Amino acid sequence: MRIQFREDQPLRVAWDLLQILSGVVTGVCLPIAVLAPSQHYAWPQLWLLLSALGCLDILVVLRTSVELEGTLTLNSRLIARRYLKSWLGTDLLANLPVLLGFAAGPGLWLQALRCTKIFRIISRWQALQLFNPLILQILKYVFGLTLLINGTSASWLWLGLSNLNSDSWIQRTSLQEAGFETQYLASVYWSVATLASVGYGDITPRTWNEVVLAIVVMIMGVLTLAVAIGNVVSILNQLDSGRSQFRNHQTALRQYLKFNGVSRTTLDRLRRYHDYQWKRFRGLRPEFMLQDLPVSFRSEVTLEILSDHLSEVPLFSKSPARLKSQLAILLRWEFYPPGSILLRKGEPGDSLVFIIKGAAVIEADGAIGISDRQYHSGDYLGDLSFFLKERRTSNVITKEFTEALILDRALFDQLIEEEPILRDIIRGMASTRSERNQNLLLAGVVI
Amino acid sequence: MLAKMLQQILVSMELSSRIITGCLVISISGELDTTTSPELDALLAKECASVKNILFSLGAMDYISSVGLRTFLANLKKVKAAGGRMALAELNEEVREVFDMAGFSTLFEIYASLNEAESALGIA
Repeated sequence: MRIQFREDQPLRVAWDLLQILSGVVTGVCLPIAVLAPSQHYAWPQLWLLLSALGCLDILVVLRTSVELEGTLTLNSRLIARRYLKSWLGTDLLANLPVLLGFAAGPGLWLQALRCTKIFRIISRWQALQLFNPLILQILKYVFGLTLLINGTSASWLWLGLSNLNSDSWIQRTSLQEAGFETQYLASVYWSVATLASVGYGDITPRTWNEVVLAIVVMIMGVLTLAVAIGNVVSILNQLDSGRSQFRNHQTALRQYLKFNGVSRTTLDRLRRYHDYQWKRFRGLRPEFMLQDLPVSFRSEVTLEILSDHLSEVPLFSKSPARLKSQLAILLRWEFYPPGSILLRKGEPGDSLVFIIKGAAVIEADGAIGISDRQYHSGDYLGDLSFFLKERRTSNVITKEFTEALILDRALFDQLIEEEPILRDIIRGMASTRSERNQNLLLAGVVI
Repeated sequence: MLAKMLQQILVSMELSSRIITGCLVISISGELDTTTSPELDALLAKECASVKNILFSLGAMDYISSVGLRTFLANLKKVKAAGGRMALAELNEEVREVFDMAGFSTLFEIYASLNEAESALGIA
């Protein structure tokens, strides 16, 4: 049996995580292994293990289906050709030499190429939208900065150790007798201070090699800081941009309403409405957000968003798939804060209202029993005035945040003509509420 | 006099009733709404006491409003409470739709033809 992976399957993502870890370990340990004077930091087994993992990853990549122009392909020849044109060479260079026994010299150094894997994997995750893209972007910067600091630190230490005369920074800071760990820490300290443009002056370049490296590191530091600060600010803004835009809109509306003398009670209701809108839809109106999608896709997405609630609505649970898709895009999706008028007394009965979430109650005196007055998720209302073509005799008020799908008469007539089964479905739904409608009519209530 | 004439012109419903073997058979033609329902109410109030079952022949009834429906529903309750039966026959398509879509078809005995309804009530 041939194993085939998909880029977004959990096992594959876990494998990617292992590869990222392998890249980070390489990036951090490789300079130490190269510079360390003792065998203590050579870690031959570590490089063998990481190279074996890298080679295994080449096989995994060759067995992972890829998306070509939006279509998922399992064609191994296409996958291999694509890999060959992109990163196969780099991955072979990074991993094969150590496995073939060239664990010293260039073989060891070439493993640095393994670090490119970190950024490739994160970019792929971003394209697949597997995780929050902003967090992935931050991760890229963190890894990039870590590798840069480690690289410059290693270079600085290498200069200090390779030229142990009196002018070397190691000599001037009297670290020639210190352990490798202390020397490396001092090097990292200089590197961070220089990259961050702090420049305390306790460790300074004096030999020409050190000066050249310091110039390079300073330029890199300025560029990195500029890019990092710009990106961090932009990322932080983006992290909360939806909410702050929504807040601005809320504030503007509130000020306008206040200016026009709207009462505090209404303003409080408005605030609760906005809170609900944020919690439920992140401040957006789904019907507007989905407008640009192709019709069939929009209906699929709407049904998926509403899937938790629609199972309770007989109009949907009893409809065949085709009618369900039509209803999902044609019905108007509204939501109301508590205390809103869902159906208004005196208005013509021109719509059927299907409650998908929340509850509402008929505003009437004690002539109707409480169970007949209340409507909950899955109930529908407006049918008496709709089918009798009369005006509504009472208000229906929402008791809590209520979401409803509205079927207007024109749409109903059109749908009944196109999908006669809709008549049978509503007839079936009506048969379960004859008792309630009888009680309402006998009490003189037509809603 | 003039008012009475005007009302007769405006009131677009005609009622006829007969009693066959203890069953009140009422034929309604035209529209059963707020204006015309009181007449049906009065007829039922007058005749109900002497019969057990009621059969409505609605072949010529074009429209029913909520008030007309209420008259049917209120009298259905009374007839059922007295152990009788109420049947509706020959509903036209529009009226039948109102009964079906508002859920009232399950409350009434509804027959496609008068003969069928009469046999069901045992008056054929």
